[in-house]
Amino acid sequence: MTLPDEAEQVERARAGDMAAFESLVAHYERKVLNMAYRRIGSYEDACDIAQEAFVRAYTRLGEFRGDASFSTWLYRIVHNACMDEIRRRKRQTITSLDQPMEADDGEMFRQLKDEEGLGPEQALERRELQAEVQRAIARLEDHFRVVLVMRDIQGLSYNEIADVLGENLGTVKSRLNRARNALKEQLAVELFSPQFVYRPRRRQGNEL
Amino acid sequence: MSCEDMNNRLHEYIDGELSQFERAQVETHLRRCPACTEELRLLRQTVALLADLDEVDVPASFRPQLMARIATLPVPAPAPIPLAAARRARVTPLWQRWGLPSAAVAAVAALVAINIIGPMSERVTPEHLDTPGVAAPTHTPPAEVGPVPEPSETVDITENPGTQPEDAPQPVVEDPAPAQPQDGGEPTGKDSDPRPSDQPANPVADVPVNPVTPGAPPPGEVFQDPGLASASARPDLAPTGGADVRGMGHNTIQVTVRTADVAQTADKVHALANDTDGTLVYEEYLPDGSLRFTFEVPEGSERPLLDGVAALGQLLEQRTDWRPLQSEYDSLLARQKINQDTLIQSQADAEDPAQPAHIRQAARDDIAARMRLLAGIRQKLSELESEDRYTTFHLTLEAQRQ
Repeated sequence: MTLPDEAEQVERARAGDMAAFESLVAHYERKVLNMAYRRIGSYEDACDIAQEAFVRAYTRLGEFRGDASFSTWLYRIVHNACMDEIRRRKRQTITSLDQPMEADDGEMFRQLKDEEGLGPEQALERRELQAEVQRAIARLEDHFRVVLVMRDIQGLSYNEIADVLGENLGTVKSRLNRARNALKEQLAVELFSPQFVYRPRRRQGNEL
Repeated sequence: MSCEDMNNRLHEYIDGELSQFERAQVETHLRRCPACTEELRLLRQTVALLADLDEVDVPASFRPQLMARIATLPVPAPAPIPLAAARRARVTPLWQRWGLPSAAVAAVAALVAINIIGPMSERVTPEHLDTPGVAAPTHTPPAEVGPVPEPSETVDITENPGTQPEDAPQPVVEDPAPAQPQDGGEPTGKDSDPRPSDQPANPVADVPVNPVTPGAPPPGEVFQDPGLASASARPDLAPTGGADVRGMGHNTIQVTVRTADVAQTADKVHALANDTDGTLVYEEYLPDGSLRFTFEVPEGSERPLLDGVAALGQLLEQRTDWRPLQSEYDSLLARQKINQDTLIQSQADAEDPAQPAHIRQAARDDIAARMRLLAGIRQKLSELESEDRYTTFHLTLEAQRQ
């Protein structure tokens, strides 16, 4: 889902057209923020990372050659900004990646429209489930998590992920499989027991 | 297919990444394997849970904050390509690799191309360029860190196109025998300035080297070079200390000289390199057999080389291109200033214990990136200054059939 006149907007932004760059930001900010949020687990940090990523994108616009799509190029910058944050956390050992990253600070910022039509109990149940999924994602190692986030949350293709990460396709597939299997194991006990029947209301892909 | 193989395939299966044949294989296995069927259900549930996660909203302040930050940044530009590398590449002495196979050619035309980069700070207008065809800078401005400046100054070139010839000698060089330097080879002879003293700002009167305007040479004259003689004057090179209207720029003069013996002429060219301040940086045979030289000469020292070239033989063509550098230079200076200011801010943020850790980290990242950017800007600035100070002098000897 690219901007219709994306190449032109990029070209104009490169020449210093702020409005053109803002239109790119407007198109991608939500994806960028959510990519960082699911990766990092902190809404505040994700906002900072998204800001930083767009600033980097702007300053490096001159390096964008159009041999990759703009989105791939931008996601690579987001990925690197996330890596910087993760490295920083490792150095400062503020948050161990082995421990679950809390997802609660993003709760209040979520869209509420998906909860329309749900009763209070159902809405609460849904929110708890989402928090559980986020905790499970946070427990993954980052190089598994990044593939999972890009594929199953952001909807990137295998090839796009390989381009963003600079990995080969086989590595991407292998990591995705392991990430999903790990997540499935973590969630199976709680979510797939017979008494907990969850019916996803929003689906992606032909097979679902 | 084993159940273990199946698991890997199931991921691609639900992602629609399998070929039709592979899908059929998977589905065949699934029909008789309840375990894998259950596995598929769980995987689908897992993926569906992920896909169903609510997105977080972008805070209303996000874009205003971001755009305010970006407004302080310099305009993005193409990635820097070190000009020094490009200059070094030009220095490759091709003739050493190619040898001098055309040395035996009986009749040779020497094509002399002279680039002059003058102390543009003392120049007033691009008066060297007096034909529109020459006016447009032939150089693509190097893809450097700076924004590409519009060569707006070239507009001046077309002004007063017909005013230059009358105040300069008109040497018709038809004899390959060495001609004498037109006016004593004064390096920057101010006193031979042909420009009338009452026309200090006439953009054309002091044309130092004159392009051959297409169709301009009078009948019977092979070459008309009012500019070469006046080149010695180079009033624009004289330190005036006055207003710098035109600013920095890159001047290119191309001269074609016909000579009888290319090898002998090449020797003379090499001697010229020794006897003048010109440094021979490039020498190559062109496909038509002509031999092309490139010199670089310190600003103000072009005259001996110009005179020496004029003495090589029959001048066929001489022209000058001028490429303004001032706006590019100014733009780079402005970018340098902006980035230095931002660097100072980032350095303050990085050291400020009151800042949140992620801000300090972002500041450190910014410092690193900005230092690289500033290094590129400084390099480009020095390249432009070098181009402004030095004359680049191209000489090509072209074989002519008799």
